[in-house]
Amino acid sequence: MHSEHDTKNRDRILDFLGSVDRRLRRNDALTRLTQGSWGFVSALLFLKLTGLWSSTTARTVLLVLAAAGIAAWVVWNYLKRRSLSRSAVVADRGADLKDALKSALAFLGLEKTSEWMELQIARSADAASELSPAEMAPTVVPTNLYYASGIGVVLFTLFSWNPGWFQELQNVDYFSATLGQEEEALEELLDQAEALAPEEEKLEELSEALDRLRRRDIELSQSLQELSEAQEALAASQVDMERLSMDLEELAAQLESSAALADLAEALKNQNTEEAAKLLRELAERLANAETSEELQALLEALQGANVQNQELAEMMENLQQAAGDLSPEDLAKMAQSLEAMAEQLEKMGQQMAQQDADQMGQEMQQLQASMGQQQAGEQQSGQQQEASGQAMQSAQGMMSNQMQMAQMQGDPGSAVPVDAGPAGDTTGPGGGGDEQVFGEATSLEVQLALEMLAKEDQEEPIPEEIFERLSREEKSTLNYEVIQQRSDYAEESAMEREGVPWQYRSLVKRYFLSILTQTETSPDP
Amino acid sequence: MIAIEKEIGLFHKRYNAVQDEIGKVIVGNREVIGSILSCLLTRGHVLLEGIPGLGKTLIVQTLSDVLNLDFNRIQFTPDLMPGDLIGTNVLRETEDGEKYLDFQPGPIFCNLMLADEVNRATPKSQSALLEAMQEKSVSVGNITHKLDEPFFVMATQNPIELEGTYPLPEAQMDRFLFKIKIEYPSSDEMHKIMDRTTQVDAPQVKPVLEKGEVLQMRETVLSVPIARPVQDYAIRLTLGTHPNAPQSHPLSNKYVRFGASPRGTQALVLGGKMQALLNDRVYVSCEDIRAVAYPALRHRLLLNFEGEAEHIDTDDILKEIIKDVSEPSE
Repeated sequence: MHSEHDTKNRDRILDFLGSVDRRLRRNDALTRLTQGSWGFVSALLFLKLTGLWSSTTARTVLLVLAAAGIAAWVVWNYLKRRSLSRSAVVADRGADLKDALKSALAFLGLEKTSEWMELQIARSADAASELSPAEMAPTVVPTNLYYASGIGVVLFTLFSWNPGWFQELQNVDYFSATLGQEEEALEELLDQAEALAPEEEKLEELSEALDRLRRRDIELSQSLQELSEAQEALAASQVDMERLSMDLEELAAQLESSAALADLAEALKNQNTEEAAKLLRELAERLANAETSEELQALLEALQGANVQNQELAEMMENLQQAAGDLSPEDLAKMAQSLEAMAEQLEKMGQQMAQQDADQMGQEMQQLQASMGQQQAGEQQSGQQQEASGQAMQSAQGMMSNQMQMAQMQGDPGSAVPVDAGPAGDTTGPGGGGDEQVFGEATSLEVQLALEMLAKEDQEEPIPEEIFERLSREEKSTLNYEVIQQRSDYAEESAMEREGVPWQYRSLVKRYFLSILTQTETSPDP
Repeated sequence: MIAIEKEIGLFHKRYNAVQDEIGKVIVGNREVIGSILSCLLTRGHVLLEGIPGLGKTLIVQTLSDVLNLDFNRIQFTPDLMPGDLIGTNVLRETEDGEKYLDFQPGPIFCNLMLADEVNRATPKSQSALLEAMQEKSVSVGNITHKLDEPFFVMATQNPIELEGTYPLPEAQMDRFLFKIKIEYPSSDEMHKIMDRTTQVDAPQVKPVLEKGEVLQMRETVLSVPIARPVQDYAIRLTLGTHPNAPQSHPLSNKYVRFGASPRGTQALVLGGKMQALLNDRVYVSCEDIRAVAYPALRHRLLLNFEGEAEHIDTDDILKEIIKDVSEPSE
């Protein structure tokens, strides 16, 4: 049974803590609202990135559902009641009450209280009446809430903004008619791309020949002949690959900003011109269906920002931009033609890149040919060398061969074999065969250096043993010695250090053994 | 409630009187004296540790002078036998020639007992204190003799002269409510010590507290309530010292072989009650628990091999545990 005074104290404490708790729950709700706002911003971005923003129905449904969910979450958090202990802890900390309210609240929950507890409750009630809930739990609006709201409004406005002129363009009938011509042009481009197939076959043949030569499946002269023919076929197709690559990367970087043209940007970034041409065709198809206003707009914006070095490509882009400038019906046709030309140019760039790869492989084969020629020349002079120098040459040649193979694997033809290594040899000539492999004069700087190093190694004298001994004496221990404090107790120490013979008898025992020793030395053997 | 506040006021008055009277002889060390009084007033015992010359024995002797209680001092030596401590049966003869055994009480039968250099006695003699400290009784033969209340053991040991000593067994250590480390005095305190101890007249103290008053103060301390969340905090501190337990601290897992026993939690709560009263509170707060955590728990942590090898101080482990164990938030 609580007295009236006790009940009053109890109510004062509970009212105060309840007020603090409401303010804490409000702050919690604001925190949840902040998190929800960021979720709403994320939902806006999701709609835009997935293309659902263009669909008014989907956009409305999703946004309404997101807003309702966030509101329900915030309200549920606000209404969810928690223990008043949290309020007591907050008030104790805020007013430096040293757990007074927390203890009082705990005492209030007991069925039976002592006078000491009642005294504590009364003291806490007095302290609570002097405190302000607003000071204990001030309303805190998270700064992130402002940021999230601002960003949400800006994104919503930007995504909803759609200029009138673009809406009108989407409804023009002849726009699809001009795109029909564009489709035909794109088809022609694809046919041209298929015409590249023989070139690709040639490349495959070259690659196969190279592999066979490495495996020594064919004669060197035969492979050289094949290589010469391939080299002549590919010599005319030199292009500035670096500039083309830069142009493609420039276009890709500009198109990456548009989500609608992300695939096209990716294809250009990977220098996959066939894929880019295919995407342009799909763009043309969608233009025919009047569904690509955003993509077309993004493409034009990207082209405006691109700094392209390739002259033909730059001219086509300029035509495209001019056509898009006022977007009159005549210029739209021009724009479609420019788009077509652009796709064609992309295909052409793809062909040039493929040819450049083939040319690079041809250069590699040329270098391999030169190397084999050097080998042949070395074989002709092999009979004049001594056995020791022949072994050195073999080592050096092994090093050269390894370097060459590694360089070829890394695609660095320039470092594989020096160009000025001497005339190419013919392994089919006399003296080139035989089981024993003997080498002639050095044909490159690396081989010469390797020979000199081997010769120097043979001339070096062995290290005197004194030096070894001195080094051994100077060697220091690597062990890290530490002083370890003796932890054994007295009983252990006394047990370990116990003297077997008592001190007072030690001299006696010593004299005894000395006397025995003396007798043994003086007495004759039995 | 007014009676309680009067009781608290009287407690403060008596406590301050004891402190002031001891302060006439002992320079500084007010916290040490407060901790000793905490042990006395919470039915505990205290172990004082410090190098020689810091006044351990003087503090205890002065306290016994201030408290008008029976006081005995026992110098623990390796040849001290349990019978020398607790007493023994003596064969007597009546006038009729009939012989009988008469129990002759040892020096342990007193209110305040100073066990000086307790670690110099053999474990056998040290163990004779176990029953007396915990049960407040002594068994000789088949008869158990009750000790007078209050019974308060103040033991001293120094940590450096370890040769020829027998470290207290864990069971014995656990029976001390607090282990108090006595540190060097400051420069000002050294001046006061010189002024008081190097002149003709040595300061004298008079008894200011009777046995009944001591028992009344005990009752006051033990009446202080502790809320469940604060008690939970004390328990979590104790559990933090246990290795390989759900609530153990990482340092305990690494360096501790055995953590504090429930007696450790009792020491925290009892010491917290004394602290609460000294801070004019009628409840125990988490701050009170923290204030007594070091003396209450430092001797209850048994280090493992790694902890011994690295010379880990249990105070360092407790410091981290106190820092990491959070107060109850809800």
